[in-house]
Amino acid sequence: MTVGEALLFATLAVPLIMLAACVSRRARERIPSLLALAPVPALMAALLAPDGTTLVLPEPPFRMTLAIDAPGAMLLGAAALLWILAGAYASADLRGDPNAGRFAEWWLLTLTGSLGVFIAVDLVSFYLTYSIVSLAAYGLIVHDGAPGSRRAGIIYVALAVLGEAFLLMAFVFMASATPDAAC
Amino acid sequence: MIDVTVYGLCSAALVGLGLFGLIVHPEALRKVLAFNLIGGGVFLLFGVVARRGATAGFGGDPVPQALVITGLVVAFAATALAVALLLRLFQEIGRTTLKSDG
Amino acid sequence: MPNYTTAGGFLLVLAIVLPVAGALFSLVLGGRRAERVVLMLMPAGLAIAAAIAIGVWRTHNVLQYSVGSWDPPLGVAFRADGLSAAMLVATALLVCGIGLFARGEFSSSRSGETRAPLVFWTLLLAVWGALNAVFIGGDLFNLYVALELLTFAAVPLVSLDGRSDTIAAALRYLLFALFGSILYLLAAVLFYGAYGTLDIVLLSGRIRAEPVVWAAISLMTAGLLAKAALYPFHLWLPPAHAGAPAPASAILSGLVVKAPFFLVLRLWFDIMLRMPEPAAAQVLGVLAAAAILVGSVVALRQARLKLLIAYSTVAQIGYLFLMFPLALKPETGHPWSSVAWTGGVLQAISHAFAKAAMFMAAGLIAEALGHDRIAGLAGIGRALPITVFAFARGGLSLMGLPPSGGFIAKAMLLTAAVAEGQWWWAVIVLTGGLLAGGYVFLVLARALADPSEPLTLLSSISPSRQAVVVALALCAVLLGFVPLRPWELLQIGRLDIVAAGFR
Repeated sequence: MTVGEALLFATLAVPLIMLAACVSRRARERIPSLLALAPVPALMAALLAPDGTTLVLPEPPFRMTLAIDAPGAMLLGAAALLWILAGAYASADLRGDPNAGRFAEWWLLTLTGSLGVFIAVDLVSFYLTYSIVSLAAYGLIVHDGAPGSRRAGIIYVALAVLGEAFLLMAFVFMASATPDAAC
Repeated sequence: MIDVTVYGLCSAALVGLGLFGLIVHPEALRKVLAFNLIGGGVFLLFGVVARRGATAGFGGDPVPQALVITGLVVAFAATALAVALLLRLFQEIGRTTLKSDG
Repeated sequence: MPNYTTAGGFLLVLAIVLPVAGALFSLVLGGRRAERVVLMLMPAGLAIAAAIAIGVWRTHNVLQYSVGSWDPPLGVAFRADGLSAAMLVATALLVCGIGLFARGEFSSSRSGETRAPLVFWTLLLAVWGALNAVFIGGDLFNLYVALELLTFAAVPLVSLDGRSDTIAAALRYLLFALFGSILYLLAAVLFYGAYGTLDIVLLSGRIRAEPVVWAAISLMTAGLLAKAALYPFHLWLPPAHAGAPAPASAILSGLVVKAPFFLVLRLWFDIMLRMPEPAAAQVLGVLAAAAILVGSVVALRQARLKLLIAYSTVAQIGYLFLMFPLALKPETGHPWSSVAWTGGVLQAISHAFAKAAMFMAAGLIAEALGHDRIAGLAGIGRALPITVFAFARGGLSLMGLPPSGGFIAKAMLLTAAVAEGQWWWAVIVLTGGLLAGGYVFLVLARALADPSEPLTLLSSISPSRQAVVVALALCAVLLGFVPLRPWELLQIGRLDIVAAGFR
């Protein structure tokens, strides 16, 4: 595995590992202060991975294809930078919040989806990461528990699911137009 | 084959009456009775089929007769189960009409 | 065929005999030992189902067995094609999961009461045997007996707790099921009277388009639709599935309601294969669309969690019947019928796992809280995170979000609809997904919210039961990793493909 492929893998793997670590309570208390570190592999991938690096995850069980090209690298880099800065601010903002662990879980999930959208190449992976980023953001919206946030969260999810329905329809039209139905 | 036609029409009438009763009556016991009526019609139709399939030596095709016996046993078990549930329901709530008519 | 029974055909007999013998043994041995009988039989049954599937896959042909060495039309045949094999394996896995889960609820060592556990374990085995018999039956009358066995075993499971509303629900279920089965029997008589055989393969060869056949098919389909709770025959399902104890609801919604659907598949695809595609396929599609819409909308308005899940079953059954307008017509040679076929079957299997996980999660929540009102679920997300996660995973499969079997199934159905130009079904599928998202989100938003006062759990839930629920939900997820192409296993032995000269 080349450096570029390893960085692509780490783009998604690092936030997911941090998310998995939130199962233990001790880790859950430490993670909110580490939010700014999660997008760092993505930034490195955007800067260092050579154009056209492709990582194909093996057929069973994953069947995802991740790749990076010039426009994708720009978008990924900009997004990663934004997430790093926001993560640093969030870590500072969350100090003293008793629900910081829960916020961090939703944050990491949204982050994974958001970065994955830029590097997913096949239709299914794109739809997956897009769903993750859309739906996981709900947790961020309703974090403060105010009734206004709750209402906003409901409206948001309704629109997100509607958007995904249209997206799925578009993919189906595209897939049936090409001879190979899988991608 | 005049007699076979009569039996066939009779079985059709039984099935029709039974279906009417099953749909129209709200009390569960009447529905069970209606189900048995339909069953009677179906078994009669089995007999018609057996008679029509009569070949040399046999009075009637034996396969439908075997099917009828199995069907009778199944219908008997079904009626028993339904009546047992009905009795239990009556013990609990004192009536046997199902709430929203099915 | 010179030798009707193929190698490995005896496995088919074992698949039925083993659970039924187990049920009889449980009845004799009594409450405490019944549970152990089931636990011993579960791996054996799973091994048999796996062996059948491997046998079908390896030989790329059906497994057959003629009872008593009498070939059809005189004898009765068991026939396992690729579809049967897939359903057998799914059944075995689901029963194993349900058995492990139910140990916590029906363990007879906990309380002195042994009647409910005895009934549950015995009937679980009876349902398993009946399901296997339905999936491998090759003769219409054999299938009638198997269907009745299934109904008689499933009905008491509904009223296991003895309350008056569950007894009423069980009675209503029984009446609908009897209505269905007597229509089925009437149709079988008509078939026999017209063609002299009830064997599926032989019938498919002899059938012609004539009024007797139209009558028989209509009667049989109507009867099976009543048993499968397709709109408008769906009224019995929500109170029955919601009133049953959680492991029973899991098997009822997961598989018992799929068995009549399986038979409609056999009727339309195998028996009717010589006949042109009837316009009635569109009627089935319309009923399916109504089921999806009505079921989902009513689910949104439910106040109790188990009723919501039950109405969701009504809606998901509609997806299954969308297969009919999409997958019939292989003689035109287009490959999309296989896509729709795979999508429908995959929907059946992944829904079984997802719905079982959701019902069992709801059961754990109800045990912990003492009630299952959706409005009172606040805070359960933090108290039982694994359970709520399993529920969410099952719900995501129902919505059709990747990775899940539900997504692949929906994508395949959509692809088939678009490719055949029947775009209106695509709209229905997507709308159903939206509405499913609605009611899943309703529950999850509630569960993840903060409670107004701290939540006290009535009883602690053992982690092993939660693990079983998660495992079942993950089965639905694992199905999402199959390729987006027709499954070869499911095409093995499809009579319509063979007759049309493909493969």
